[in-house]
Amino acid sequence: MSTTVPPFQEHGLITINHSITVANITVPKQQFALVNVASFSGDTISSGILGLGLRGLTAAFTGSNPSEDGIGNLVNYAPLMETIGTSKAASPILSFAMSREENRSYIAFGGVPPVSTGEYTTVPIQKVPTCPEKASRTPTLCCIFLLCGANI
Amino acid sequence: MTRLGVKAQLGFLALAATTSAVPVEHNQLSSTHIHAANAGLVLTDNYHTLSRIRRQPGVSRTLDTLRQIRRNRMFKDVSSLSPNDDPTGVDHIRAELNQIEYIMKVGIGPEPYYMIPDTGSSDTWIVQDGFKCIDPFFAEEVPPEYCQFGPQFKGDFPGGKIENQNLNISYLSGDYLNGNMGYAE
Repeated sequence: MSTTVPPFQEHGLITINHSITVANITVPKQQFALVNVASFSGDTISSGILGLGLRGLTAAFTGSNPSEDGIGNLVNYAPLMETIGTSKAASPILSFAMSREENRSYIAFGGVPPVSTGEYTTVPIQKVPTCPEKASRTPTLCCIFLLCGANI
Repeated sequence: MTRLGVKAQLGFLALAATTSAVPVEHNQLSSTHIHAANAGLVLTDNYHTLSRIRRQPGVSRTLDTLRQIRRNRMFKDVSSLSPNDDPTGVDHIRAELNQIEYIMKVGIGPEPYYMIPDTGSSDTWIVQDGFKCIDPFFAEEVPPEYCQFGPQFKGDFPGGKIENQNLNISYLSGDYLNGNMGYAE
C-alpha cells in the first residue's frame, strides 16, 4: 500500500532560483542539511523536514565524525524562521490554518492566511531552560517569533 | 555511533483551526482583517497548501524499549507485545498507527519537494541521492526503499558546503539522521 497525496489547487511556491522557497518567499542563504545516513520511517512522499523551530534546537556539530558529536561541539545556527526575519524576506511570523479535510489547510509566513476566523490571540514565546544540557546551550533569540491563534 | 540528547519532536502546532479554512477574497474578509489587526497581525498572500495525508500503518518506534533494543542490537518480535507485557508501550504503538501528517511543497533549489513542516525541530534537511538507509534494529545498511522517502535530492549544496560541520539528529520517533551542512543560495 502506498500513501498518496490528494489532488489540490496549489497556492504559492515559485521555484526559479537555487534558494529555499516556502510559499512565495525566497529565503536567502539558508543553512540546511543533505542527509546521507538515515534510520527513518518515511511516508513515501516527503523527502525531508522543514525545521520551523528556533535556533536553540539546531543539531549541527563541528567536525565530520558523528561519533564525536556532543554538547561540546554543538553549533547553533540560524534556522529558517530566523533567516526569514533577519533577511527581511518576511516578518518572522508563522501561522497555520488547520482543517480535517484533505486540502484545506494552510501554512503562512509573515502573517496569517486569508481564511475566515474569529478573534486572534498572540502570545510571545518565552525561552526557559528545560534540562542542564539545554541550559548550557548558547543563549538565543527567542522573542522575534509570534504565535497566532484564532478563537472561533 | 553515539546518539545524542538532541531530541526534537515531530509535532504540529495547530493554531488557527477552522471548519472551513478556505481562502476567500480579501475584500470578503473584512472582519478577519479587523481581528488580525487587533492582534497586530496582517493577512498575507505568502501562504501555501498543506496536504493532509494518512501515513501507512506500521509499528511506531517511539518506545524507549525499542530504542534500547536498537542500541543493544537485540532482536525482539514487536508484534508479540501484548497489553499485559507492556501496557504503556502498546498504548504508544496504538496511538501512532494510521497517524495523520500534514506535508507541503518546498523549493530546494529549482525543484519542489514535499517536506514535513515541523515546529518542534529546527533543522531543515532533505535526503540526498545515494544515502545509506540503516535498519533501526540491527544498525545495518538496508535498501533505500526501506526508509520510505520521497524523491531524493540530486547534486550538492547550491550555496556551498560548510566544511567541518555535520548534522546529527534523533527524533522521538526513534528515527535518526546524519548528513552534511551547507547553504542554499
